[in-house]
Amino acid sequence: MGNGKQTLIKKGAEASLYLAEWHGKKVMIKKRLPKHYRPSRLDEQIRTFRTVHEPQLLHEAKLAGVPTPMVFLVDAKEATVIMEFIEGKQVKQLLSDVSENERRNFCFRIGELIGKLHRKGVIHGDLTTSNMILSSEGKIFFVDFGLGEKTEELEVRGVDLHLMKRALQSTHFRYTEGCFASIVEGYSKILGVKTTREVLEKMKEIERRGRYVAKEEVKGSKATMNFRLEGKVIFFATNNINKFNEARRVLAKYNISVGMLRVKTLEIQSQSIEEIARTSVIDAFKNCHLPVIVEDAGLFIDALNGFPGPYAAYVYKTVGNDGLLRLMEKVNDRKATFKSVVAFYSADCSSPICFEGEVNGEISEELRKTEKNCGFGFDPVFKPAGKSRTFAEMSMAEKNMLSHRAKALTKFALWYRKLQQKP
Amino acid sequence: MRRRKTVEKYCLGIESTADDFSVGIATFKGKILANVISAFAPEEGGIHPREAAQHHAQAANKVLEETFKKSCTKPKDIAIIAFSQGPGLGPCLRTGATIARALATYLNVPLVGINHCVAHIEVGKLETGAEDPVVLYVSGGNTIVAAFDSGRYRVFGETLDIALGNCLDVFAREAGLRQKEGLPFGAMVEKFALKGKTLVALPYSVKGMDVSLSGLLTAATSLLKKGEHELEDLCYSLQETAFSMITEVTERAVAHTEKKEILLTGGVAANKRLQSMIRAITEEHEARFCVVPSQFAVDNGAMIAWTGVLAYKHGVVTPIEKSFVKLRWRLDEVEVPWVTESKL
Repeated sequence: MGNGKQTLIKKGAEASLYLAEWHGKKVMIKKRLPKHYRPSRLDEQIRTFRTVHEPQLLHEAKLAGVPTPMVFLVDAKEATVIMEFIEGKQVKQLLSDVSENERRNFCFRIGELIGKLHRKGVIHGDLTTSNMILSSEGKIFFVDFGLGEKTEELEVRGVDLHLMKRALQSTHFRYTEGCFASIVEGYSKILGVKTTREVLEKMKEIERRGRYVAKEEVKGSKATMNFRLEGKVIFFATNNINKFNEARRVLAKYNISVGMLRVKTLEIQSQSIEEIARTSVIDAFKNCHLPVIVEDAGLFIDALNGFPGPYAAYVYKTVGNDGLLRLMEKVNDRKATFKSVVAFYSADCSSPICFEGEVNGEISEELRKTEKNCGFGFDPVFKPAGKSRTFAEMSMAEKNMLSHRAKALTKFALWYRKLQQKP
Repeated sequence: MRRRKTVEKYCLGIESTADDFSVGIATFKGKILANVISAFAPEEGGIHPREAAQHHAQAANKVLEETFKKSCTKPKDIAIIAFSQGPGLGPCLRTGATIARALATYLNVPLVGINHCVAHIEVGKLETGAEDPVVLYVSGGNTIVAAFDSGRYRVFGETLDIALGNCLDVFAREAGLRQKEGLPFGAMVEKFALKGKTLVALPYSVKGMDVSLSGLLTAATSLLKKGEHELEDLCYSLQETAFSMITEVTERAVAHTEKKEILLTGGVAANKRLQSMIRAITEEHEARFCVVPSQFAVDNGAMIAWTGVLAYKHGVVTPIEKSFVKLRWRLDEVEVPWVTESKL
């Protein structure tokens, strides 16, 4: 993981943070080390869940307009995330050093940022001033979404604000009230007075709850379940970061978090991509004992009697796109089909469950791609039917509307999400 | 007798926040002379505040008598009366407060109203020698992670809904585990958990420094009713999940404050599994693990008496007209002038 020196900068309760160099970039490596006090299965679940979940929320937060560090790599198996290192100062230290006016201003901005998160249904889950960093350009970054979740429930929003207030009380008790008032101001600027009032009322209700309350009063309090893996989290065994990123995008639409599992899986020689996927998912599961999917794809070219088929990856590695185009020189029938099979396996399965997707199209006359797209493999030579551009000339969002892999993943997601509702 | 009186001064403490009525006597130097506890154990169901209060009123006389007998003191030897002024169940608190006011008036000595949670921490420090710990206080009514900073015990984490002890008690009652004399429901869960082997998935809900236990209880109870799992496994899973959550937030407080002691107190502190988890994190952070002996970890009068001494020595007295009980008196609302800033 990473190359070169790693310096431990913080040993927190939940994770250890290391500063390191990674491909020439200054990065933060966040490792969730095993906690031996809890049962290992529970420990593993918690650590992998948070590891996979956090990058997703960091991404969502960014979309909501809240600065967060870029995520470079997620390694679910090692419970490790590599992300951008934000140079700056913790808001925790800052708040005590600035004037009253500046402090109120900071808090107002923090309130706005929390409002932006909540507006998009992102709950930070651990709002403290040590999880906010003022960067050298003056932006306030939110970090550490390990306890966050995605919801628009009033209850959870209330808890989030309550935690912010509690953090102020325990570390900035000299000016809690002023700070919190400014945060609320900023928050209501984004979410409006009505919503803010509702959230604050909920927060007060929550505050009354935790106290020494007569036992009758507590009964009937609502159950909140925020930790159930099934249907929410899946691990994708692949060593191809592009495939992983595509899957992440597709599955995010269905609120499924996905972790990249870097395991070497068995790939048998077979004509059927389904059979290949089936064997390799069982092999992947044996390595990790987590609910896992693998994806196997093939390119079937009509004029070549279905060649390269399941050997697409091998052909790509050996002769590449140029080789394929040479094979197709002077061939008039350029019809081809991309097929994808996603196979799922978990401890509850008797045999792997497969989902198929395919897209018809043709092999282009020449290699075509644009600079900043995400195409890989045979993408630059495959034109989906009815389109004038190759996959490599499309944005990932566009490709995900059409691609064989996205179709198979979507089928899987629709099925997998249903598991979540089952008790 | 006379000489002894000039050397030693005594404080009598009355505790009545919930289901226990207890009286203790402490010397001004920090010696506990007596600690008599009378527990109210209902035939079935939870504690009804009024019934518990009735128990307290009936038990008071006997408990007081026994306290004086055990400590070899007489009412006239008492220099101050301390009582738990909150937080707690209204009727129970009022019963204790009434007795305290009557005694103080009769003996013509000062009255000191004590915060129940502060008392748990102070007696824990007295009994274990802890100086500046992160405190994990877990009982039927409270689940608090606290540490001292700038004049008060600051609450770093707590439950957002029900207390840990309550969670275990309700589950045990739902499971029909009958309470044996002197053995709390939670202890029954611990007993069954020892035989559990399979970890059943239950909601794990840590929110920042706080925990939420009601979802866990609901899930465990509904699994219990479905009857698909062994009771032993459910007890085991409930304990493992709840304790892991609590331990995680405690560790967060330790990492945050960088204090070098962890003090475990409250009724649930007696649980061996919880002790082993907390001990594991103290080792990780090179801290000292302190667990309060069970007679001082449960609600008791001695802790009120000792905290009364500390408060009184620092000028805290509660005039009778201001001695009304405070049902929701938070730990972090109390100034503790007797604790000095650590040198860290």
